[in-house]
Amino acid sequence: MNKEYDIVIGLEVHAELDINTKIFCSCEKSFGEKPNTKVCPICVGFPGTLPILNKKAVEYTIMAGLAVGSEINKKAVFERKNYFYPDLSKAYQISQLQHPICIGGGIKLSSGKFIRLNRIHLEEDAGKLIHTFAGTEIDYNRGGLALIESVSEPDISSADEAIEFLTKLREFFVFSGVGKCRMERGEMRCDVNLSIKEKGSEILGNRTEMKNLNSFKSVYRAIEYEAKRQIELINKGEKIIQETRKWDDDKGESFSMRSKEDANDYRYFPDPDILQVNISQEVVDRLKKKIPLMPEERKEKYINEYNLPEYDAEILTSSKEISQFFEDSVKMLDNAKEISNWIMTEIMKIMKDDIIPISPQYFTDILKMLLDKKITRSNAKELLYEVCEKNMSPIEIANKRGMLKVITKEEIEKIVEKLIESNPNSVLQYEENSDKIVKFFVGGVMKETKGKADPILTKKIIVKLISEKLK
Amino acid sequence: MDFTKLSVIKNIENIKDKKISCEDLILQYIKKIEENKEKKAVAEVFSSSLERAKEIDKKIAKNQKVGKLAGAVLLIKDNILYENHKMTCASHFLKDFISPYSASIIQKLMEEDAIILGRTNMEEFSINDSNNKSDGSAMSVNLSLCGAAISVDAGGSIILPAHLNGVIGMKPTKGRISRYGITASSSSFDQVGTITKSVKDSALLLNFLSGYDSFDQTTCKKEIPDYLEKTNKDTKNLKIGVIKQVYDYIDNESKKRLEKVIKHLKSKGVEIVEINYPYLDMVLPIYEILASAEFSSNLGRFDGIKYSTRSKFADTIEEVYRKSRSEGFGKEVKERIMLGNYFLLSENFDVYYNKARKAQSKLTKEIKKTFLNCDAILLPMELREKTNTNSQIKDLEKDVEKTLVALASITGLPSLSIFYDIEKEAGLINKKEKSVGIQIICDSFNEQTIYNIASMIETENLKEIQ
Repeated sequence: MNKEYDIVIGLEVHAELDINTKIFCSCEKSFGEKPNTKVCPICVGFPGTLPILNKKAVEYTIMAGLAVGSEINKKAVFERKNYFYPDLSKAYQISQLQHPICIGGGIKLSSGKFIRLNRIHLEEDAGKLIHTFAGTEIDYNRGGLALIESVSEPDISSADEAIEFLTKLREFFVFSGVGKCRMERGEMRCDVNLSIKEKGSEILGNRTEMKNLNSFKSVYRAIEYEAKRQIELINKGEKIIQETRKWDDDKGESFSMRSKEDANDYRYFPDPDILQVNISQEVVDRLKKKIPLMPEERKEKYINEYNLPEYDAEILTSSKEISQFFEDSVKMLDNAKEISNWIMTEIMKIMKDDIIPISPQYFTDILKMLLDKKITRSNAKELLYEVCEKNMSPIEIANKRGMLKVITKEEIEKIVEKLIESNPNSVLQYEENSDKIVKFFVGGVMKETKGKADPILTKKIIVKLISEKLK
Repeated sequence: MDFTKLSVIKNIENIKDKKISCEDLILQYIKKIEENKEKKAVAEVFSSSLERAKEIDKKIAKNQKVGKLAGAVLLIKDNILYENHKMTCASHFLKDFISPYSASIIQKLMEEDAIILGRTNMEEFSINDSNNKSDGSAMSVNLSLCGAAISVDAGGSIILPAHLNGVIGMKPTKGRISRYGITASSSSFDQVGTITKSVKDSALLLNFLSGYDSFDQTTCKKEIPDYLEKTNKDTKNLKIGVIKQVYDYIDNESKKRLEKVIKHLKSKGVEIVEINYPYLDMVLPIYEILASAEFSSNLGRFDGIKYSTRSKFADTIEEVYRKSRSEGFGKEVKERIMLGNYFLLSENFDVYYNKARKAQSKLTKEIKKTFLNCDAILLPMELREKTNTNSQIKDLEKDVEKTLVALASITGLPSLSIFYDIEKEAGLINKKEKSVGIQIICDSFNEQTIYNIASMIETENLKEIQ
């Protein structure tokens, strides 16, 4: 009979820090540039070069740690991880082993389960190999970018939990501003360590490692596949080999890369070129103040302080940009619900690549005009698009286009009366096809008033006057 | 007149006084290098040096301002990068390497119009060159093939060859001079220094070499005194320490010589104090472990992929590494890489590397304590009579010599080697039979005291010559 098994998963998550330069030189951080155009003797590891540690990279790592509740080490040491690979220019990667910047911390899943982090450390990224028909080429543009590696404890027990953990971790990093974590750009990558154990047992089986998974989907699929593979092996009475496996997303399966016996001894030792980094409590306190509220906390605040429905709060905190935009707008206009409505409909429609093409100032200017009944709702929408396009003050545009003049009830009545007089046939068709006729007259009024008439009021007046006429 | 025999300072004056042009000075050196070709001290004379000399001559002719080192003609060790010039570290692996940038020290020297004449021979990647009399830099200075040499010390590779060639070797404090642009062999111990004919030449060069460099975060921001200006021969009230355990290492002849030095120093008003430092046995193991560990990692970048020569017989990536490195490195380099890797293996790390680091910090702390009681430490350079032919004993000698020069390396302290002509009948500094080689070590960043003591000794030496 087949036994039941628990899955034991630990994740190692690499996230690129959102700083302008590489970690040890002043080369620009880039993506998709021509190979080897963003390199210098330092990041290509020429003889005689030395690393110059970027202060901001250390600060961002501290902030990442603070966001997930890590302790910040008072002393951090950079070590060399020695191995040969063509994309590693110095034949060692500068990383951290004994004294990482952040220790501990963790993430609470919605089930209430807490996934502990072992550490977050700072290191440099390697270059990239490009395999062509002519041979393998090396692009060092990525080499030397600042990466943080978050290592979880083996507390995760399903693919779903892994994805929730990753989603939340990503949110923490994005909200605290340390990384953009765009997975499609490789700004966040994940290694999965997985083993199984008999239900109720404490004895772990051999674990396998799958490296460099670059989407949530492949993490999910790789976990499902690997758990199934291991359980099947055990059920067949076979052994699980401790090894590194490569996940092939196209085939939907993984295959062995190297076994433990072939594994590198990385011969770590402290890098003599980088002095020990001493992190004072003052620095930690200063950085703590810089960390904004995380999505969960924001959600609560939106519900309790702004009286928004949970649905709204959920959507508004789904991205850092939207949440920030909402908060900035609320500071300028005390009508959270109206702002929320507009963000959830119009703003999210016009957002592109996480960029909102209007400032909270202009956005709230429009809403203020609308709420003060200076412009109509349809004009407000039109104005929004125009402001985005021209990046001009909405008040100025509204003035120029004469939107600001409000059309009075009397004026609308006059226009409708005129329209009835000049379109007697249409009036006669009203009983047969009232919707169409009302629309036709509304159109006429809008044309006459350049859209400044309140459509609801206009409709009321049209229905009233036509009915009177027909009597 | 032969200007090559003169000190750097003298030739700077001569250039200023238009007694010779830079171009003619360079030509004199080049001629001398040609004459001494068979000694293989110089690996390459840079043709750019003549161009530079002409440029500086032009400036002088137009009465334009020239740098403070116009007239300083320097050779550099073949592991220092100088933009658009060859640098090989005396390795087949880098035989075609052209430096894409200049070391920070080269930039500093050039800004003051020093001329880089060429590069000197060395042991491949500085391996074992601390015991090497044929070190190109020290030999070049001794043979007057240059005004002075800018060299790199790791475990005594300035101090010892300078001593063996009868010239003055100076290794400043760790962090005093930038390492940016120095091909790393053992990063913790690599230290730029000078090999000169006179103490003042060294002081002058140190004025320009020293200082914080944003490209080397291990350099120190400490203020740089004007070493040359402040060098004085006043040794009154000076306290010099002699490590009592040193006597366990040296034979009677060396002991007698050391005692003569001490007696002479006392006659100059120096107070001699005995220092207890029972750690000398640990110096060499610490150095060997840490230096080879770092060496093995630093040389990983020579993999046949980028700038080092790739094996023609490699098909797979594995073979590119294996064959290129097998063909590229010499035997001793390979041995040291193997050794270093062994020390760093995860199962050995605590036993070797960590232990050595701990011992290193203990030894550093302890030697620094001795400076509460003295201004400098005096160590002998010659240890046994050189007539010994027994090879085992010779090896032992080497170990002892290395121990005494590696002490400054592992503790990061500044040290200088100089001959002390106590017999006062030598006539020439080079006649070392009658003179004693000594090493002066001071506390961190106290190069000035070293220069003061060395300057006094030098004056004593010269008195007899003149």
